[in-house]
Amino acid sequence: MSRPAIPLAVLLLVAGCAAGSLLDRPGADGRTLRQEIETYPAEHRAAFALAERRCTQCHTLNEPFGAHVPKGGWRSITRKMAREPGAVIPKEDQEQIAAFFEYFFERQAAKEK
Amino acid sequence: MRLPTPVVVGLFICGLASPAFAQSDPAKKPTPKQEEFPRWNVGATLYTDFSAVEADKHERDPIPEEGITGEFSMGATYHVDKAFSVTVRACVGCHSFELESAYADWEMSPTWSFRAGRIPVPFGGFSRRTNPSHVESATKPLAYIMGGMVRQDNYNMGVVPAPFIDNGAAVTGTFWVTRDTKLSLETALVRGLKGLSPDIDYELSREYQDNNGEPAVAARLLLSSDLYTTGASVTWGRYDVNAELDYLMGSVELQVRFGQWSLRLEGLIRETEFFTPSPFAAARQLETNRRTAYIAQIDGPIAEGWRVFLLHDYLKVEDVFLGPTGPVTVQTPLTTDDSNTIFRVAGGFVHNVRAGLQVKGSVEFWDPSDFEQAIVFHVGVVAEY
Repeated sequence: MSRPAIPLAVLLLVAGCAAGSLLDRPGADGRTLRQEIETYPAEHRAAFALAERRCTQCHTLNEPFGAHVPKGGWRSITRKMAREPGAVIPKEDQEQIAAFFEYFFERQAAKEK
Repeated sequence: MRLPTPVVVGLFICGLASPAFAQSDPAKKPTPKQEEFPRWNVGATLYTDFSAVEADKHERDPIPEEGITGEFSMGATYHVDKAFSVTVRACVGCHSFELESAYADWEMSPTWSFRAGRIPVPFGGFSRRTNPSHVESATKPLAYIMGGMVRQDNYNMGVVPAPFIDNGAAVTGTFWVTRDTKLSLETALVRGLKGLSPDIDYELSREYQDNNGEPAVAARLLLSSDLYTTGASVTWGRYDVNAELDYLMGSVELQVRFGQWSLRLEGLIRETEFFTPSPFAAARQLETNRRTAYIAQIDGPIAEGWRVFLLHDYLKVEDVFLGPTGPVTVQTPLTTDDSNTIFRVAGGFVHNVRAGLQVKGSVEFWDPSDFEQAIVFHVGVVAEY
Protein backbone atom coordinates (compact mmCIF):
# COMPACT_ATOMS: atom_id res chain seq x y z
CA MET A 1 0.00 0.00 0.00
CA SER A 2 1.24 3.53 -0.67
CA ARG A 3 2.44 4.73 2.73
CA PRO A 4 1.61 8.48 2.39
CA ALA A 5 -2.02 7.65 1.70
CA ILE A 6 -2.58 6.02 5.09
CA PRO A 7 -2.10 9.05 7.40
CA LEU A 8 -4.02 11.23 4.97
CA ALA A 9 -6.89 8.77 4.93
CA VAL A 10 -6.95 8.51 8.72
CA LEU A 11 -6.82 12.30 9.12
CA LEU A 12 -9.75 12.80 6.75
CA LEU A 13 -11.73 10.05 8.39
CA VAL A 14 -11.24 11.52 11.86
CA ALA A 15 -12.10 15.01 10.61
CA GLY A 16 -15.22 13.67 8.98
CA CYS A 17 -16.34 11.74 12.03
CA ALA A 18 -15.71 14.64 14.39
CA ALA A 19 -18.07 16.94 12.56
CA GLY A 20 -21.85 16.90 12.74
CA SER A 21 -24.36 16.31 9.96
CA LEU A 22 -26.66 18.72 8.20
CA LEU A 23 -30.23 18.06 9.34
CA ASP A 24 -29.02 16.85 12.73
CA ARG A 25 -26.51 19.60 13.41
CA PRO A 26 -27.39 22.07 16.18
CA GLY A 27 -27.51 25.66 15.00
CA ALA A 28 -26.75 28.84 16.95
CA ASP A 29 -29.99 28.42 18.90
CA GLY A 30 -29.09 24.85 19.85
CA ARG A 31 -31.77 23.27 17.68
CA THR A 32 -31.16 20.98 14.73
CA LEU A 33 -32.75 21.78 11.39
CA ARG A 34 -35.12 18.89 11.84
CA GLN A 35 -36.20 20.21 15.24
CA GLU A 36 -36.66 23.65 13.78
CA ILE A 37 -38.81 22.31 10.92
CA GLU A 38 -41.03 20.63 13.50
CA THR A 39 -42.01 24.12 14.69
CA TYR A 40 -43.12 25.20 11.20
CA PRO A 41 -46.80 25.49 10.20
CA ALA A 42 -48.45 22.18 9.38
CA GLU A 43 -48.42 22.80 5.62
CA HIS A 44 -44.64 23.21 5.62
CA ARG A 45 -44.09 20.22 7.89
CA ALA A 46 -46.15 18.16 5.45
CA ALA A 47 -44.16 19.57 2.54
CA PHE A 48 -40.89 18.62 4.25
CA ALA A 49 -42.19 15.06 4.59
CA LEU A 50 -43.02 15.15 0.88
CA ALA A 51 -39.50 16.35 0.07
CA GLU A 52 -38.06 13.48 2.12
CA ARG A 53 -40.23 11.06 0.16
CA ARG A 54 -39.92 12.48 -3.34
CA CYS A 55 -36.44 14.02 -3.56
CA THR A 56 -34.53 11.16 -1.95
CA GLN A 57 -35.40 8.87 -4.84
CA CYS A 58 -32.48 10.47 -6.66
CA HIS A 59 -30.34 12.30 -4.06
CA THR A 60 -30.09 13.01 -0.35
CA LEU A 61 -31.70 16.07 1.25
CA ASN A 62 -28.29 17.56 1.92
CA GLU A 63 -28.28 18.81 -1.63
CA PRO A 64 -31.32 21.09 -1.46
CA PHE A 65 -30.52 22.16 2.11
CA GLY A 66 -26.98 22.98 1.04
CA ALA A 67 -27.94 24.66 -2.23
CA HIS A 68 -27.56 28.35 -2.99
CA VAL A 69 -30.76 29.20 -4.80
CA PRO A 70 -31.91 32.80 -5.22
CA LYS A 71 -35.32 33.71 -3.83
CA GLY A 72 -38.14 32.49 -6.02
CA GLY A 73 -35.91 29.93 -7.73
CA TRP A 74 -37.22 26.73 -6.19
CA ARG A 75 -40.18 26.33 -8.55
CA SER A 76 -37.90 26.21 -11.57
CA ILE A 77 -35.65 23.69 -9.89
CA THR A 78 -38.34 21.33 -8.65
CA ARG A 79 -40.10 21.49 -12.01
CA LYS A 80 -36.87 20.67 -13.86
CA MET A 81 -36.09 17.84 -11.43
CA ALA A 82 -39.60 16.45 -11.81
CA ARG A 83 -39.08 16.15 -15.57
CA GLU A 84 -36.15 13.81 -15.04
CA PRO A 85 -37.03 10.23 -15.94
CA GLY A 86 -37.19 8.25 -12.71
CA ALA A 87 -38.30 11.21 -10.61
CA VAL A 88 -41.86 10.85 -9.34
CA ILE A 89 -42.97 14.32 -8.25
CA PRO A 90 -46.55 15.16 -9.22
CA LYS A 91 -47.29 18.78 -10.04
CA GLU A 92 -49.06 19.59 -6.76
CA ASP A 93 -46.14 18.10 -4.81
CA GLN A 94 -43.69 20.21 -6.81
CA GLU A 95 -45.49 23.36 -5.68
CA GLN A 96 -45.52 22.30 -2.04
CA ILE A 97 -41.87 21.29 -2.00
CA ALA A 98 -40.83 24.52 -3.71
CA ALA A 99 -42.89 26.55 -1.24
CA PHE A 100 -41.28 24.71 1.68
CA PHE A 101 -37.74 25.47 0.54
CA GLU A 102 -38.63 29.11 -0.16
CA TYR A 103 -40.02 29.36 3.37
CA PHE A 104 -37.07 27.54 4.92
CA PHE A 105 -34.44 29.76 3.29
CA GLU A 106 -36.43 32.91 4.03
CA ARG A 107 -36.41 31.89 7.70
CA GLN A 108 -32.69 31.16 7.60
CA ALA A 109 -31.96 34.52 5.98
CA ALA A 110 -34.11 36.28 8.59
CA LYS A 111 -32.25 34.48 11.39
CA GLU A 112 -28.91 35.56 9.99
CA LYS A 113 -30.02 39.20 10.11
CA MET B 1 -4.66 34.97 -32.01
CA ARG B 2 -6.29 31.70 -31.07
CA LEU B 3 -7.05 31.17 -27.39
CA PRO B 4 -6.42 27.68 -25.96
CA THR B 5 -9.58 25.57 -25.51
CA PRO B 6 -9.49 25.60 -21.67
CA VAL B 7 -9.41 29.40 -21.68
CA VAL B 8 -12.33 29.64 -24.10
CA VAL B 9 -14.40 27.17 -22.08
CA GLY B 10 -13.52 28.93 -18.80
CA LEU B 11 -14.48 32.33 -20.17
CA PHE B 12 -17.73 30.89 -21.50
CA ILE B 13 -18.67 29.44 -18.10
CA CYS B 14 -17.69 32.67 -16.29
CA GLY B 15 -19.74 34.63 -18.78
CA LEU B 16 -22.73 32.43 -18.11
CA ALA B 17 -22.25 32.66 -14.37
CA SER B 18 -21.79 36.41 -14.10
CA PRO B 19 -25.50 37.35 -14.16
CA ALA B 20 -25.99 34.97 -11.24
CA PHE B 21 -23.83 37.21 -9.08
CA ALA B 22 -25.71 40.26 -10.26
CA GLN B 23 -28.89 38.47 -9.31
CA SER B 24 -27.76 38.16 -5.69
CA ASP B 25 -27.67 41.97 -5.41
CA PRO B 26 -29.82 42.73 -2.36
CA ALA B 27 -31.23 45.82 -4.09
CA LYS B 28 -33.07 43.56 -6.52
CA LYS B 29 -35.15 41.51 -4.12
CA PRO B 30 -37.70 39.39 -5.96
CA THR B 31 -41.05 38.88 -4.35
CA PRO B 32 -41.00 35.60 -2.44
CA LYS B 33 -42.83 32.71 -4.11
CA GLN B 34 -43.11 34.67 -7.34
CA GLU B 35 -41.30 33.07 -10.21
CA GLU B 36 -39.12 35.42 -12.19
CA PHE B 37 -37.27 34.91 -15.43
CA PRO B 38 -34.62 34.80 -16.61
CA ARG B 39 -33.06 32.98 -13.67
CA TRP B 40 -29.65 31.41 -13.01
CA ASN B 41 -28.47 28.48 -10.98
CA VAL B 42 -24.78 27.85 -10.61
CA GLY B 43 -23.22 24.70 -9.20
CA ALA B 44 -19.80 23.20 -8.76
CA THR B 45 -18.38 19.92 -7.49
CA LEU B 46 -14.85 19.18 -6.35
CA TYR B 47 -13.85 15.61 -5.65
CA THR B 48 -10.45 14.47 -4.44
CA ASP B 49 -9.80 10.76 -4.01
CA PHE B 50 -6.89 9.10 -2.21
CA SER B 51 -6.37 5.49 -3.23
CA ALA B 52 -3.89 2.83 -2.23
CA VAL B 53 -3.52 -0.66 -3.66
CA GLU B 54 -2.60 -3.84 -1.85
CA ALA B 55 -1.34 -6.37 -4.39
CA ASP B 56 1.52 -8.79 -4.98
CA LYS B 57 4.84 -7.04 -5.43
CA HIS B 58 5.34 -8.11 -9.05
CA GLU B 59 1.82 -6.90 -9.76
CA ARG B 60 2.35 -3.37 -8.45
CA ASP B 61 0.48 -0.55 -10.10
CA PRO B 62 -2.37 -2.55 -11.57
CA ILE B 63 -4.25 0.77 -11.55
CA PRO B 64 -2.48 3.43 -13.61
CA GLU B 65 -3.77 6.35 -11.52
CA GLU B 66 -3.19 4.99 -8.01
CA GLY B 67 -2.55 7.80 -5.55
CA ILE B 68 -4.29 11.14 -5.43
CA THR B 69 -6.74 11.93 -8.17
CA GLY B 70 -9.36 14.61 -8.53
CA GLU B 71 -12.21 15.77 -10.68
CA PHE B 72 -13.58 19.25 -10.60
CA SER B 73 -16.59 20.56 -12.44
CA MET B 74 -18.62 23.73 -12.62
CA GLY B 75 -21.84 24.42 -14.39
CA ALA B 76 -24.74 26.76 -14.74
CA THR B 77 -28.36 26.50 -15.80
CA TYR B 78 -30.03 29.52 -17.31
CA HIS B 79 -33.81 29.37 -17.04
CA VAL B 80 -34.92 31.58 -19.91
CA ASP B 81 -38.56 31.08 -19.03
CA LYS B 82 -40.80 28.43 -17.57
CA ALA B 83 -40.33 26.10 -20.51
CA PHE B 84 -36.82 26.77 -21.77
CA SER B 85 -33.43 26.43 -20.13
CA VAL B 86 -29.81 26.11 -21.12
CA THR B 87 -27.32 24.04 -19.12
CA VAL B 88 -23.55 24.08 -19.46
CA ARG B 89 -21.14 22.07 -17.36
CA ALA B 90 -17.37 21.92 -17.76
CA CYS B 91 -14.94 19.63 -15.98
CA VAL B 92 -11.29 18.90 -15.52
CA GLY B 93 -9.59 15.98 -13.87
CA CYS B 94 -10.00 12.63 -15.56
CA HIS B 95 -8.98 14.16 -18.87
CA SER B 96 -8.25 17.67 -20.09
CA PHE B 97 -10.44 20.68 -19.41
CA GLU B 98 -13.58 20.15 -21.48
CA LEU B 99 -17.31 20.55 -21.77
CA GLU B 100 -18.97 17.72 -19.90
CA SER B 101 -22.37 18.72 -21.20
CA ALA B 102 -23.98 21.68 -22.90
CA TYR B 103 -27.60 21.52 -23.95
CA ALA B 104 -30.87 23.32 -24.27
CA ASP B 105 -34.08 21.93 -22.75
CA TRP B 106 -37.45 22.86 -24.15
CA GLU B 107 -40.59 21.64 -22.42
CA MET B 108 -42.80 21.55 -25.48
CA SER B 109 -45.85 20.38 -23.52
CA PRO B 110 -46.55 18.78 -20.14
CA THR B 111 -45.82 15.46 -21.83
CA TRP B 112 -42.99 16.12 -24.26
CA SER B 113 -39.54 17.62 -23.80
CA PHE B 114 -36.84 18.30 -26.36
CA ARG B 115 -33.15 18.45 -25.59
CA ALA B 116 -30.29 19.25 -27.97
CA GLY B 117 -26.57 19.83 -27.70
CA ARG B 118 -23.94 17.79 -25.93
CA ILE B 119 -26.40 15.62 -24.05
CA PRO B 120 -26.45 12.62 -21.70
CA VAL B 121 -27.38 9.63 -23.87
CA PRO B 122 -30.49 7.91 -22.53
CA PHE B 123 -28.98 4.56 -21.69
CA GLY B 124 -28.62 2.61 -18.47
CA GLY B 125 -29.52 3.08 -14.84
CA PHE B 126 -26.13 4.04 -13.42
CA SER B 127 -25.05 6.15 -16.38
CA ARG B 128 -26.42 9.37 -14.87
CA ARG B 129 -25.21 8.64 -11.36
CA THR B 130 -21.86 10.18 -12.15
CA ASN B 131 -21.76 13.19 -9.86
CA PRO B 132 -19.43 12.17 -7.00
CA SER B 133 -21.88 13.63 -4.47
CA HIS B 134 -24.64 11.32 -5.73
CA VAL B 135 -22.58 8.15 -5.93
CA GLU B 136 -21.60 6.10 -2.91
CA SER B 137 -18.61 4.22 -4.30
CA ALA B 138 -15.26 5.82 -5.15
CA THR B 139 -15.13 4.13 -8.54
CA LYS B 140 -18.01 3.53 -10.91
CA PRO B 141 -19.59 0.09 -11.31
CA LEU B 142 -17.56 -2.18 -13.62
CA ALA B 143 -19.96 -1.81 -16.53
CA TYR B 144 -19.43 1.97 -16.43
CA ILE B 145 -15.92 2.19 -15.04
CA MET B 146 -13.68 4.93 -16.40
CA GLY B 147 -10.80 5.18 -13.94
CA GLY B 148 -9.47 3.29 -10.96
CA MET B 149 -9.97 -0.04 -12.74
CA VAL B 150 -7.59 -2.86 -11.96
CA ARG B 151 -6.01 -3.94 -15.27
CA GLN B 152 -7.88 -1.30 -17.21
CA ASP B 153 -5.23 -1.29 -19.96
CA ASN B 154 -5.89 -4.97 -20.63
CA TYR B 155 -9.67 -4.88 -20.39
CA ASN B 156 -10.17 -1.52 -22.12
CA MET B 157 -12.72 -0.41 -19.50
CA GLY B 158 -16.23 -1.82 -19.09
CA VAL B 159 -19.30 -1.82 -21.31
CA VAL B 160 -20.33 1.82 -21.68
CA PRO B 161 -18.61 5.12 -20.87
CA ALA B 162 -19.85 7.23 -17.96
CA PRO B 163 -20.93 9.90 -18.14
CA PHE B 164 -22.29 8.77 -21.50
CA ILE B 165 -22.32 12.13 -23.24
CA ASP B 166 -22.66 12.70 -26.95
CA ASN B 167 -23.64 15.36 -29.46
CA GLY B 168 -27.21 15.06 -30.62
CA ALA B 169 -30.84 15.56 -29.73
CA ALA B 170 -33.35 13.76 -27.55
CA VAL B 171 -37.11 13.72 -27.14
CA THR B 172 -38.59 12.60 -23.84
CA GLY B 173 -42.20 11.70 -23.16
CA THR B 174 -43.59 11.64 -19.63
CA PHE B 175 -46.84 9.79 -19.00
CA TRP B 176 -48.50 9.60 -15.59
CA VAL B 177 -50.02 6.15 -15.19
CA THR B 178 -51.37 6.94 -11.73
CA ARG B 179 -50.71 9.87 -9.39
CA ASP B 180 -47.60 8.08 -8.08
CA THR B 181 -46.48 6.13 -11.12
CA LYS B 182 -44.71 7.63 -14.10
CA LEU B 183 -43.71 6.16 -17.44
CA SER B 184 -40.85 7.89 -19.25
CA LEU B 185 -39.73 7.26 -22.80
CA GLU B 186 -36.48 8.82 -23.88
CA THR B 187 -35.25 8.62 -27.47
CA ALA B 188 -32.12 10.15 -28.91
CA LEU B 189 -30.21 10.54 -32.13
CA VAL B 190 -26.51 11.06 -31.40
CA ARG B 191 -23.16 10.97 -33.12
CA GLY B 192 -22.21 7.56 -31.69
CA LEU B 193 -19.20 5.91 -30.10
CA LYS B 194 -15.91 5.69 -31.97
CA GLY B 195 -13.07 3.25 -32.18
CA LEU B 196 -10.78 1.07 -34.23
CA SER B 197 -11.34 -2.64 -34.80
CA PRO B 198 -11.57 -4.70 -32.59
CA ASP B 199 -13.00 -2.39 -29.91
CA ILE B 200 -14.51 0.96 -29.01
CA ASP B 201 -12.09 3.65 -27.86
CA TYR B 202 -13.47 5.88 -25.12
CA GLU B 203 -10.89 8.61 -25.68
CA LEU B 204 -11.70 8.87 -29.39
CA SER B 205 -15.39 8.82 -28.50
CA ARG B 206 -14.97 11.95 -26.35
CA GLU B 207 -13.84 14.06 -29.29
CA TYR B 208 -16.39 16.55 -30.50
CA GLN B 209 -16.49 15.74 -34.23
CA ASP B 210 -18.15 12.77 -35.93
CA ASN B 211 -15.94 10.08 -37.50
CA ASN B 212 -18.28 8.39 -39.96
CA GLY B 213 -21.28 10.61 -40.53
CA GLU B 214 -23.70 7.90 -39.42
CA PRO B 215 -25.83 8.69 -36.37
CA ALA B 216 -26.47 6.27 -33.53
CA VAL B 217 -29.85 5.78 -31.91
CA ALA B 218 -30.69 5.29 -28.25
CA ALA B 219 -33.87 4.74 -26.27
CA ARG B 220 -34.77 4.18 -22.65
CA LEU B 221 -38.13 3.22 -21.21
CA LEU B 222 -38.59 3.70 -17.48
CA LEU B 223 -41.44 3.02 -15.10
CA SER B 224 -41.10 4.78 -11.75
CA SER B 225 -43.06 4.94 -8.54
CA ASP B 226 -42.27 5.69 -4.92
CA LEU B 227 -41.20 2.11 -4.32
CA TYR B 228 -39.40 1.13 -7.49
CA THR B 229 -37.91 2.22 -10.78
CA THR B 230 -37.55 -0.30 -13.56
CA GLY B 231 -36.71 -0.04 -17.22
CA ALA B 232 -34.73 -1.05 -20.26
CA SER B 233 -32.42 0.75 -22.65
CA VAL B 234 -30.92 0.06 -26.02
CA THR B 235 -28.47 1.85 -28.28
CA TRP B 236 -27.08 0.98 -31.69
CA GLY B 237 -24.48 2.61 -33.90
CA ARG B 238 -21.38 2.16 -36.04
CA TYR B 239 -18.03 3.01 -34.53
CA ASP B 240 -15.41 2.86 -37.27
CA VAL B 241 -14.47 5.48 -39.85
CA ASN B 242 -15.91 3.46 -42.75
CA ALA B 243 -19.19 2.77 -40.91
CA GLU B 244 -18.79 -1.00 -41.39
CA LEU B 245 -18.68 -2.13 -37.76
CA ASP B 246 -21.76 -2.10 -35.53
CA TYR B 247 -22.12 -1.97 -31.79
CA LEU B 248 -25.34 -2.86 -30.00
CA MET B 249 -25.86 -2.31 -26.30
CA GLY B 250 -28.72 -3.19 -24.02
CA SER B 251 -29.48 -2.70 -20.35
CA VAL B 252 -32.21 -3.72 -17.92
CA GLU B 253 -32.46 -2.01 -14.55
CA LEU B 254 -34.40 -2.23 -11.33
CA GLN B 255 -34.21 -0.04 -8.25
CA VAL B 256 -36.30 -0.95 -5.23
CA ARG B 257 -36.62 1.42 -2.28
CA PHE B 258 -37.22 0.25 1.28
CA GLY B 259 -37.69 3.53 3.09
CA GLN B 260 -34.38 5.33 2.59
CA TRP B 261 -32.58 2.14 1.58
CA SER B 262 -32.15 1.31 -2.08
CA LEU B 263 -31.43 -1.94 -3.87
CA ARG B 264 -30.07 -1.22 -7.33
CA LEU B 265 -29.73 -3.96 -9.93
CA GLU B 266 -28.65 -3.68 -13.53
CA GLY B 267 -27.56 -6.03 -16.29
CA LEU B 268 -25.80 -4.87 -19.45
CA ILE B 269 -24.55 -6.32 -22.68
CA ARG B 270 -22.58 -4.97 -25.62
CA GLU B 271 -21.89 -6.76 -28.88
CA THR B 272 -19.14 -5.20 -30.97
CA GLU B 273 -18.27 -6.25 -34.49
CA PHE B 274 -14.64 -6.42 -35.57
CA PHE B 275 -12.47 -7.68 -38.42
CA THR B 276 -10.17 -10.64 -37.91
CA PRO B 277 -7.26 -11.11 -38.21
CA SER B 278 -7.08 -7.38 -39.02
CA PRO B 279 -9.08 -4.73 -40.91
CA PHE B 280 -6.29 -4.59 -43.50
CA ALA B 281 -6.05 -8.33 -44.23
CA ALA B 282 -7.17 -9.44 -47.68
CA ALA B 283 -9.13 -12.38 -46.23
CA ARG B 284 -10.58 -10.52 -43.27
CA GLN B 285 -13.70 -11.83 -41.62
CA LEU B 286 -16.38 -10.09 -39.65
CA GLU B 287 -16.81 -11.36 -36.08
CA THR B 288 -18.42 -10.15 -32.88
CA ASN B 289 -17.08 -9.86 -29.36
CA ARG B 290 -19.36 -9.64 -26.37
CA ARG B 291 -19.20 -7.83 -23.04
CA THR B 292 -21.69 -8.64 -20.33
CA ALA B 293 -21.91 -7.17 -16.86
CA TYR B 294 -24.16 -6.97 -13.87
CA ILE B 295 -24.35 -4.65 -10.89
CA ALA B 296 -25.97 -5.19 -7.51
CA GLN B 297 -25.79 -2.49 -4.88
CA ILE B 298 -27.57 -1.84 -1.63
CA ASP B 299 -27.18 1.51 0.09
CA GLY B 300 -28.87 3.48 2.82
CA PRO B 301 -28.47 5.45 6.03
CA ILE B 302 -27.31 3.88 9.27
CA ALA B 303 -27.33 7.10 11.28
CA GLU B 304 -28.09 10.76 10.66
CA GLY B 305 -25.53 11.92 8.11
CA TRP B 306 -24.06 8.47 7.51
CA ARG B 307 -24.79 6.23 4.55
CA VAL B 308 -23.23 2.86 3.81
CA PHE B 309 -23.16 0.75 0.68
CA LEU B 310 -22.29 -2.73 -0.47
CA LEU B 311 -21.60 -3.20 -4.17
CA HIS B 312 -21.02 -6.37 -6.12
CA ASP B 313 -20.37 -6.22 -9.82
CA TYR B 314 -19.06 -8.48 -12.54
CA LEU B 315 -17.71 -8.08 -16.05
CA LYS B 316 -17.12 -10.69 -18.74
CA VAL B 317 -15.26 -10.07 -22.00
CA GLU B 318 -15.56 -12.84 -24.58
CA ASP B 319 -14.36 -13.69 -28.09
CA VAL B 320 -11.37 -11.38 -27.99
CA PHE B 321 -7.91 -11.76 -26.39
CA LEU B 322 -6.62 -9.27 -23.83
CA GLY B 323 -3.14 -7.95 -24.55
CA PRO B 324 -1.02 -5.47 -22.57
CA THR B 325 -2.59 -2.54 -24.42
CA GLY B 326 -6.11 -3.87 -24.81
CA PRO B 327 -8.18 -6.42 -26.71
CA VAL B 328 -6.63 -8.03 -29.80
CA THR B 329 -7.94 -10.53 -32.34
CA VAL B 330 -5.04 -13.02 -32.32
CA GLN B 331 -3.76 -14.94 -29.33
CA THR B 332 -0.05 -14.59 -28.51
CA PRO B 333 2.09 -15.49 -25.46
CA LEU B 334 1.39 -11.97 -24.15
CA THR B 335 -2.39 -12.29 -24.27
CA THR B 336 -5.00 -14.07 -22.22
CA ASP B 337 -7.49 -16.55 -23.63
CA ASP B 338 -10.74 -15.34 -25.18
CA SER B 339 -12.92 -15.47 -22.07
CA ASN B 340 -12.06 -13.04 -19.29
CA THR B 341 -13.91 -11.93 -16.19
CA ILE B 342 -13.62 -9.60 -13.24
CA PHE B 343 -15.45 -10.24 -9.99
CA ARG B 344 -15.54 -7.36 -7.53
CA VAL B 345 -16.98 -6.63 -4.10
CA ALA B 346 -16.83 -3.15 -2.56
CA GLY B 347 -18.18 -1.62 0.60
CA GLY B 348 -17.90 1.69 2.35
CA PHE B 349 -19.52 4.79 3.78
CA VAL B 350 -20.49 8.33 2.86
CA HIS B 351 -20.55 10.87 5.67
CA ASN B 352 -22.15 14.28 5.26
CA VAL B 353 -19.93 16.51 7.32
CA ARG B 354 -21.98 19.61 6.64
CA ALA B 355 -23.98 21.12 3.82
CA GLY B 356 -21.98 20.65 0.64
CA LEU B 357 -19.20 18.54 2.16
CA GLN B 358 -18.92 14.76 2.20
CA VAL B 359 -16.23 12.30 3.19
CA LYS B 360 -16.33 8.93 1.46
CA GLY B 361 -14.39 5.80 2.29
CA SER B 362 -14.42 2.35 0.71
CA VAL B 363 -12.57 -0.90 0.26
CA GLU B 364 -12.68 -2.85 -3.01
CA PHE B 365 -11.70 -6.47 -3.58
CA TRP B 366 -10.85 -7.20 -7.21
CA ASP B 367 -10.55 -10.68 -8.68
CA PRO B 368 -9.69 -10.66 -12.41
CA SER B 369 -9.69 -14.11 -14.03
CA ASP B 370 -6.24 -13.93 -15.63
CA PHE B 371 -4.43 -11.51 -13.32
CA GLU B 372 -3.55 -11.19 -9.65
CA GLN B 373 -6.18 -10.22 -7.12
CA ALA B 374 -5.97 -6.76 -5.57
CA ILE B 375 -7.49 -4.81 -2.70
CA VAL B 376 -7.94 -1.09 -3.18
CA PHE B 377 -8.59 1.44 -0.42
CA HIS B 378 -10.23 4.78 -1.15
CA VAL B 379 -10.87 7.89 0.92
CA GLY B 380 -12.37 10.88 -0.82
CA VAL B 381 -13.63 14.37 -0.10
CA VAL B 382 -16.52 15.84 -2.08
CA ALA B 383 -17.29 19.54 -1.87
CA GLU B 384 -20.32 20.86 -3.66
CA TYR B 385 -21.76 24.29 -4.23
